Amino acid sequence: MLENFWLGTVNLFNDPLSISLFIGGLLGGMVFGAVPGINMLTLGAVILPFTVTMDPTNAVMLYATIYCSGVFGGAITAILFNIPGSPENAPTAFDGYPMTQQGKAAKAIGAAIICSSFGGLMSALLMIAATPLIAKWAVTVFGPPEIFALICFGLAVSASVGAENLWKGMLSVAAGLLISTIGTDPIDGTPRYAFDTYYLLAGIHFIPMILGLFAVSEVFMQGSKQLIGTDERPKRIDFTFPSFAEFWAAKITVARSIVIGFFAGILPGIGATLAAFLSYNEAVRWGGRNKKFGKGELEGVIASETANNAATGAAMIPLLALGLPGGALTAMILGVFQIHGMEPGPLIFQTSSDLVWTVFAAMVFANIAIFFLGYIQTKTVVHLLRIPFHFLAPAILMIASIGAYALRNLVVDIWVMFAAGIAGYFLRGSGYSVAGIVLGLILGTLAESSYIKSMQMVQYQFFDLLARPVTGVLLVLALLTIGFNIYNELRNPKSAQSA
Amino acid sequence: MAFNEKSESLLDHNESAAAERRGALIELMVWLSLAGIALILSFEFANTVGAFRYGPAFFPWIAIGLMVAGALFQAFLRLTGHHSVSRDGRPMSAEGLFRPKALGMFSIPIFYLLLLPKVGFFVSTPLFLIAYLAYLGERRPTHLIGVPLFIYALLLLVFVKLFFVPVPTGQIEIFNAVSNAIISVLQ
Repeated sequence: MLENFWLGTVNLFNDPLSISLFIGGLLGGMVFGAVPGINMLTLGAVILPFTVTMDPTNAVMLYATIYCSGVFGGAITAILFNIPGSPENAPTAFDGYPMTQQGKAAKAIGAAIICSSFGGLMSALLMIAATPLIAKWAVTVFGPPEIFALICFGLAVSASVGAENLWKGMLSVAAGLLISTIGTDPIDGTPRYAFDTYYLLAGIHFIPMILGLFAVSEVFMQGSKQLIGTDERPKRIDFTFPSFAEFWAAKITVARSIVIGFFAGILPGIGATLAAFLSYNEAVRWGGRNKKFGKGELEGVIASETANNAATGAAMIPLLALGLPGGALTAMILGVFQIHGMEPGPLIFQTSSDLVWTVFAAMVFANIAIFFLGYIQTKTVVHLLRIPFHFLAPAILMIASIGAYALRNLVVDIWVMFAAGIAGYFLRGSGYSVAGIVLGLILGTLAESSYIKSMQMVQYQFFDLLARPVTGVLLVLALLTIGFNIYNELRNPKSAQSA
Repeated sequence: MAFNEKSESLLDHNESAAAERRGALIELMVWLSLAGIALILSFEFANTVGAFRYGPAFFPWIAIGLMVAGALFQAFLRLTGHHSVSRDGRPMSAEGLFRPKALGMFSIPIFYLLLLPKVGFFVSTPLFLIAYLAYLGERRPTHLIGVPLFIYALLLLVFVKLFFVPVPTGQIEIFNAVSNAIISVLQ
């Protein structure tokens, strides 16, 4: 194994073109990951045609590098401006942005850099060590019932995060689930809530929704505070990075997030987004009463960023071992293989061993590079905080608009974004959770298709699902989570007026 | 004095309780209306026969059910004076949220979106930038023109020239021509 890794490293750094592509992928992923709407998927889509002329090893290596750096890149704007660069950075904003408002931006970014680098590195090393065995286990054990149960559990926990109370959290998630049903049903393609329009038949894309609910609503809220004179923008920027003691205190969160990220990333089709949300939810669940998740808790940033980067290495496992993409970018990598007439699968380790080990080496070094490049990025980007908000606001709106338009070249996407922004303004101002809406939206379609397949598998005998150990455990945990939260809410004393 | 202070405090308390009940009812009505509309619209596709036994309306009904349950629970607890744990607090008061000047912020992006397909990105964007900056309170002429110009130049350089991101060029002929001229200069 070490020998193969060494050969992969030599392959990577032996050729000036490989080195150039590696550096280009690193920087491109970070920049594109940081710009809302123009994320690493945009970069991946743009360069896909150009990979025809590339050596397949270089092409796949480039995408793997973009994946590692792109997932990290979105954390910076998530922390500084509450604008997640990509969906997997959304949970980072829950605590990262409040930390910025408290003048602790550098601490949050420092944590994001270190955790992204560490999580990604651990994932890459695990990927190298366990690819054949873990891939086979995950694909055989995790079927639609397990995926459905995992999503139910995730949604049950997320209903308790980010909202004023449990009911508003539930309503937020329910709203997201309802929005996810717009378009066509996943089995028969029956139009739902489409009003005979082509746009709605394709469903509401989550990227304009995320841009609207996070970026645009934030601009509106900050602008509103500025207009009525309650602007709370921090003037002082603290350059204190997190200490070793703070990381050591969060060691369990880090370890748990790596495990969650790795196993969520390994599941075909789910990837870094669910990893980040699940990890954040678990950090909240196990965090204890003294923690202030949603108000600037460092562990929130640590959990999210560790998990989303830990998912990157894992997502390559089903792709390389079985030809199943772990997420959108890995689906593009599958396209790269097909362009070059290659087919990933178990035989790839025999027929293209040099490609596999070069990709492994690239991912290890990309995660190491994040550690250094991230600090440089922090020192430059954090100065954006000194700029008065009313200068930044129109720029943020424009960048978000371009990002929404670039998705499908539709002005309607910008309308959706601003509509979501207006809705987000009122929802956030009333104590609802836009994160819950986004989670319901992203996971709703997957939950529905998994549920339908599950019911067909058990001939519509729902309780047969509980007989599957993993499904049963997760569903019971989901119910216990909801029950516990309801009990907690009802336990509180009545207010004085009713006495 | 103490009696007057107590009376005033009781009056304030009663007013705030009335406002809380009003808020609870309004939120309940909003959520129930949304759920009702979604439910009524779902009957259009509910009877479609397909591969799934429960039909395409099953999952929307689950979401609607969760929405109704959450709304009713919340309203019941608030109307009966149950004090719910406020985990995160509201970032803004209701008065601040619905202040006309704050709501006026939405009008500029809406006008921009109405204008965008007709005159294109290159003509509408500088107008939007200046208008929004002015609305947020900037009055210095140098900043009112200079900052939007800088942002506009940066957007063109990064997105149009470097990344070749497509932007609307406008349906009206003259604006379309201007947009294409700018694109050819940049690229």
